Formats: sequence, C-alpha cells, structure tokens
Amino acid sequence: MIYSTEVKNMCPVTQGVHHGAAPIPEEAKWVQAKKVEDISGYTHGIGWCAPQQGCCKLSLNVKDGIIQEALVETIGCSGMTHSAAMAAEILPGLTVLEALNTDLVCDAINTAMRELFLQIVYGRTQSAFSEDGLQIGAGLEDLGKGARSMVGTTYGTLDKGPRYLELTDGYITDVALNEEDEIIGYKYVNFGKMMDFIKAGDDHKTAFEKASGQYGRVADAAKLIDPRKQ
Amino acid sequence: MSLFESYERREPQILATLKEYGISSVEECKEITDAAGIDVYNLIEGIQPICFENAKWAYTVGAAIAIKKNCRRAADAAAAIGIGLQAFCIPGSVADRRKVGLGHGNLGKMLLEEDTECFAFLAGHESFAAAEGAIGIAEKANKVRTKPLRVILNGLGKDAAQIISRINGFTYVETEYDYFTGEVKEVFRKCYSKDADSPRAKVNCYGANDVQEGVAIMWKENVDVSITGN
Repeated sequence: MIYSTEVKNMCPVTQGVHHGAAPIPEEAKWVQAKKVEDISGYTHGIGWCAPQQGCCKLSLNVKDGIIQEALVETIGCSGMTHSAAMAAEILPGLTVLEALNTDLVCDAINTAMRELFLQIVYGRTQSAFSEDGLQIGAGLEDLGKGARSMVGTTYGTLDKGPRYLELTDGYITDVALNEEDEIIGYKYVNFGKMMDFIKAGDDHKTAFEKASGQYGRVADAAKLIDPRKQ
Repeated sequence: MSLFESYERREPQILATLKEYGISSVEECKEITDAAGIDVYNLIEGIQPICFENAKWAYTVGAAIAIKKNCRRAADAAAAIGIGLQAFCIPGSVADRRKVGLGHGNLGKMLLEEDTECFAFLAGHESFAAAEGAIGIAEKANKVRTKPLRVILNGLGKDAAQIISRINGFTYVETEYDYFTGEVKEVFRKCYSKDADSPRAKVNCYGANDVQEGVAIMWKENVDVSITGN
C-alpha cells in the first residue's frame, strides 16, 4: 500500500469514532458482522436470467459463513434444471462469499445467489430471531409432505377464459364450473402423496384415489372440465 | 426422547408457570385434562395435522391451567389457555417479548364474548385457503355464543374478493368509496352459496381499492375485532 506524496504531506486529523457496523439480527443474536464467518441464517433468494425465460428460488442454511444446506428450485427452463443438479453439489461447503462466484453458468441461479447474499448480510433471514437458527433439514421441510416444489401453473385466454393446471394442492384434473361457466372449484391429485402411497405398497389406482381431493364448490358444479383438453 | 421440540429451552418457564397453579409437570397436565374428559393433544392434531408437537402440548398445558383456575365460561378458559401458550414461548424470542401466547388467549376470549359482534379477517385475498380459518372460528365460537359471531373478510382487491367468494361460497359485496366525503356505498352483492342460510353464505367478503376504503368497510360492518397476516 502506497500513500501519494500529496496525502503524505497532509497533517493528520484524528478519526475519533469507530463503532463499526450496526448489528444485524442473526439466529437470535445481534451481530456486528465483520467477516464472512460472522454470517449465519436460513434465507431465500429469487433469481432470473437475462432473457427472463426462467427463474430460481434458492434457500440456504448458512452457519458461520459456510453453506451447510442448499435447496434449489427452478421453473421455466430445461437447462436450468440441470444447472440446479450441479448447484446442489457445488454450493454446500462454500462460504456465502465464494458462492457468489461459482463455476455455475446459469444466470438465474447466480442471480438468486446474489439476492440471497444481500438478504443474509443485511440480516433479513427467516431465522433472525430463532435461537441457534434452523436445523439442517429446514430446506427439505420447506418442501412439505412428498418433498416436491410448490408450483402454480395457470393459463388464460380472452376467448376461452382461465384454466388452473397446477396449484399448491396438486395437479388439477378437473375444473368445476357453475351455470355461468365460472370456475367455482377444482379436483386435484397430489403427485408427492401418490408416490408415497405407491412406495408404501398401494396399487396405482388406490394411491391415485387416496392422493386425490377437491377444493371449493365442486358439489355445486354444473359441469367438470379437463383444463388441459377442454 | 423429549416430549416436544426444544424441550430443554422451554422447560424452566413452563414448570415455573405450572407451579403457580399447583401442577408439577407437563405430563400431569395431560392427566388433569384426561380426567376432565378432554383429549387436548388429539383435538389439536385434528385441527392442524401438520402442527408441531409443542403446539399440542402447549394447549394441553393451557387447558390444565384453565381447569385448575376453575374457569366455567369458555371466554375465561380461552384466556387461561393463553397463559399456557405464553409459557411455551422461548425467553428472548419475539413471541416471548410480544406476549403472543397471552394475545392468542385474549383474542379467543374476545371472540367468545357477546359484546364482540363482528370479526374481520383482514387479508390480501391472496389465497383461497386463507378464508377457511374464518369459517372454522365462527362455527366453533357460535357453540357457546347466544348471538352468532358475524365474520367478514376484508382485503385489497375487488376481483380477487369476488373470485374467492365464488370458489368458497361466500357473499361478495362490492363497494364504491368516495375519497372526498369518506362515504362507502354498496353497489353490488351476490351470494355464491346455493343455500343462502349456510355459514359460508353469511360471510361477507369485501375488496378494497386502498386502506381508506378498507377502514370505511370496517366501520360499515361494525367490526369489533380484526386480525391480519403479514
């Protein structure tokens, strides 16, 4: 480090304050984060690529700066699903600082990492007020029973109106319409639950029935339609 | 294995609270409630199958306190249950500092008392299911009330309010707000249940264009208690 002659020739003025960083809440402690190892917490980041064809939700459980758990969820791009596969292997073990510059070339995942970094270093985490933070496994728990991502897929046109294809409940098999052809409910099958039933020994038909359900006023429906075909 | 999550961190304050009511352990609370013919543990699981173990035990502890306090009115029992819930809050947590447990108990108490006429679920109308809780609360509260508790849903978005009403069978009420005089006028009303006397039909669902209109709707409906999400 070299000081320029101009600065060298100046007289010293005392820097009288040095409080450091304002503390941020992390795992129920107020931390004056100085180094990467001062960063802990469970939080999310959402990312997208330049053409905005796909997006990624990244959830990391970070302990003392190191990524202990990574949940990578992506929609809208086939290539990104494979980048996500690599990310699950690359991210754990890195510090959050290293994770900003991995070998991953998927823009959406990298942007999600950048957004997550901002969240976590500014103290915006889900575990800000949870003592010792969340256990490793919190990411998997986020997926819920059946361990599948929460995805919504809906479609609508001016001529033919709306269709629900997939909601939090599951894959929509039928949309219920009233006498005015307005949507008043839907029937669904939850694939995560269905696979769990099949793995536990149920035959496919039984598993399908057990994992099926309905929401809204299906009983009042004038007709049921297949949202993908009708 | 411990009875519920983070047992060690919760035990001291639970036992201290229980001591005030002459109870020596969490297990004894179960005996007290069982002897009174209330299976609190399974009751809670029935309401929310994915709840934590600690929720089932917190209500067991609360119910035992209510029994020990000889609460004979449902409203008094609700407040006493809140004492149990509060004991489960981890010291230093947001729940502890904001007295969330006592708050829950007192909210229950208010809904069970006759001078609370109307209860509003103040939400963003972002999810079909968010409204379900409102109906559950009204149905349960009305078991002990002489005058039924009226429930309304109020939130941002008129279209969303109408779609939620259509799917859940509520009564959609469209309003128009005069920003100059502060007057709110009803311009359209439609009941989306086939049975106009059903509990769902009696739930009025409003969509407001902004907070001012929302507040005017609350006055119009004579709301006494409201709760909101984030």
